[in-house]
Amino acid sequence: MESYDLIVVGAGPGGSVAAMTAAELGMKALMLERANYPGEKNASGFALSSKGERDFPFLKEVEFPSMRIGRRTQAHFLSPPPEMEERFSMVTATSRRISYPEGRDYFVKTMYRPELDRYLAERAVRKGAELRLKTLVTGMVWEAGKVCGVRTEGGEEYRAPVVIGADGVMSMTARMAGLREKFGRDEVVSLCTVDYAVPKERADAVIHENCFQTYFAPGFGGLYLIVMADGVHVGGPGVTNSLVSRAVRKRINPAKEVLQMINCPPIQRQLTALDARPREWQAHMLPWMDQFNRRIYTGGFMLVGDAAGVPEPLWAEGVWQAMYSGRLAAETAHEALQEGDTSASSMQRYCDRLEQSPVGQEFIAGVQLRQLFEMLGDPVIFDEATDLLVDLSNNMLWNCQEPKAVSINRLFPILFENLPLLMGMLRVYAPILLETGGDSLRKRIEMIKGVAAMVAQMTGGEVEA
Amino acid sequence: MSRKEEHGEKLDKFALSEIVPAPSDFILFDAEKCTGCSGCVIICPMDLWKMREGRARLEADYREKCMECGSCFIACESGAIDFTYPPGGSGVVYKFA
Ligand SMILES: Cc1cc2nc3c(=O)[nH]c(=O)nc-3n(C[C@H](O)[C@H](O)[C@H](O)COP(=O)(O)OP(=O)(O)OC[C@H]3O[C@@H](n4cnc5c(N)ncnc54)[C@H](O)[C@@H]3O)c2cc1C
Ligand code: SF4
Ligand code: SF4
Repeated sequence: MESYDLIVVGAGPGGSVAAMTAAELGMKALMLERANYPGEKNASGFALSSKGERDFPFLKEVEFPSMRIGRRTQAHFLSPPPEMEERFSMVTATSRRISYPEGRDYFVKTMYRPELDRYLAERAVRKGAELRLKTLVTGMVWEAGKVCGVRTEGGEEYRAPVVIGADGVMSMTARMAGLREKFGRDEVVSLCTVDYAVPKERADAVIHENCFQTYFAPGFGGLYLIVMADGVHVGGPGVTNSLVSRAVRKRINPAKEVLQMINCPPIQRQLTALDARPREWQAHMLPWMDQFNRRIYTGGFMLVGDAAGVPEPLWAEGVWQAMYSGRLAAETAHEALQEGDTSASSMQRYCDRLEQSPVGQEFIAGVQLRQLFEMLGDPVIFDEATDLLVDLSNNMLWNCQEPKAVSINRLFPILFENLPLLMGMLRVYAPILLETGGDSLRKRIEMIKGVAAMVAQMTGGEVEA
Repeated sequence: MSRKEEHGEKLDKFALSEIVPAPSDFILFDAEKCTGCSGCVIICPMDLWKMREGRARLEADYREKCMECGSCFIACESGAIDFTYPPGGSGVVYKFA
């Protein structure tokens, strides 16, 4: 039996950052990972958002062979099957209003997970943490109602006053710690990915910095196409069809849907332009919860990353969240050890901090954002929304079939006809605005009133300020 | 093979996956508890669950094909499926995850 200050189960991004932080704080940390190498099991998109570099500045120095910078994103809205051609597409650059420089510079960096996961685990080891690979954790050691170690399939026992479960969506440690049997059908999505090899020059020429693309079609959950330096991931479906409860209810097999939608002409054209060759097939689940999960701690134990269910509720981005929660958990463990208190109430501080952090704040509007996806999952509403986008852009500007004055006069009727749809969208966004932006909204209204009064004065009219 | 076949629906997911078969079982199925709801059959990305006489059945060679995604375990609400992971070092290998 060996003793440590902290044991981390799983060497994904959450686990490695937890172990790295602990080692930096002078703790003796052990990471246990079932795979042959970090990242071997962790199928993913994969695009790391600029929040990664903002919060973990050491990432700025890394250059992986597979890395590509994404300064544009692209979304395609397709017609119904069998045609499935583009009806509305848009490319967007980053907004100049983003609050931090990395965020204004780029959206995401794409890369292969084995490269990132290996790098993070190696960094933890360089900082002094120990890593054991090919080691499946199968049991938990308890003392006085608190977790105080783990057992592996080989029967070895490792002890530590605090254990962090960073073992992903199918977390066995969550189960062993009595926090849940498993995630519910409404809390996880089942996703599939096809990886393609692509010549780098082709990807540079065709994609350049436009490496995060999404494709949506009525009735489909949607696919993403993520281009690395020399490879492509096409994966999905989106939450409307991959949430296990919904997939089962609609009798949709996510693998079949991905393979069917890959055949749509716009994706086929993209793959042909890239000279893409299929290389690997992947299937993985991902928590997609609409509320912050507070069942993530007990005495001597904390869950981080996917095991805690922290991927954000609109796109289910999860790696930055895993890293962020891993760091917070390790910091809390350090504090608890210094105070000599690893009770559940001591661990609760981690949960409170996480809920207050940007990771937890993403869940403020979780339920409403889920509604948005639900709405767009309805093939009729999806088609109407696409119509609205097409009609507005066509009649405002992009029209050579009719005199401009005729088409511009259609704008009001179009908006009027689409009031039910717009109200539906408003129902999603208004509560978010009120909950998060109430103050700034009131200030804006005051400002508008002030300007109106000024205008009234200048023009000699009267307006109540 | 035409482009379409190579890219999409005809793409052979089995040929594109690499698995080191686990030396022991890691999915346990209790037929007694199965209600025949088809959840596992619908969701499995590798088509490893089949319905027979109103109950699910897991393919005998699942250890050579299963991606360890756990979807069947989540889909089953009657406790008929139990899932652990294959022993360390075995199971699915992703080189381009
Ligand atoms: C298809 C797909 C696409 C995605 N795309 C993106 C994206 O573009 N951007 C993004 O930010 N996120 C994305 N995500 C989410 C992201 O992959 C996860 O949120 C992230 O991997 C969570 O990190 P983690 O460290 O919590 O868990 P994981 O990365 O799952 O790591 C858990 C580790 O624990 C190990 N383990 C499990 N059980 C045991 C055990 N009992 N004993 C020992 N070791 C164990 C596993 O082998 C694994 O290495 C995607 C997910 C999927 C499925
Ligand atoms: S774990 Fe996934 S691939 Fe394996 S049998 Fe279950 S659903 Fe199928
Ligand atoms: S999901 Fe469970 S209950 Fe339903 S068919 Fe499969 S094993 Fe039986």
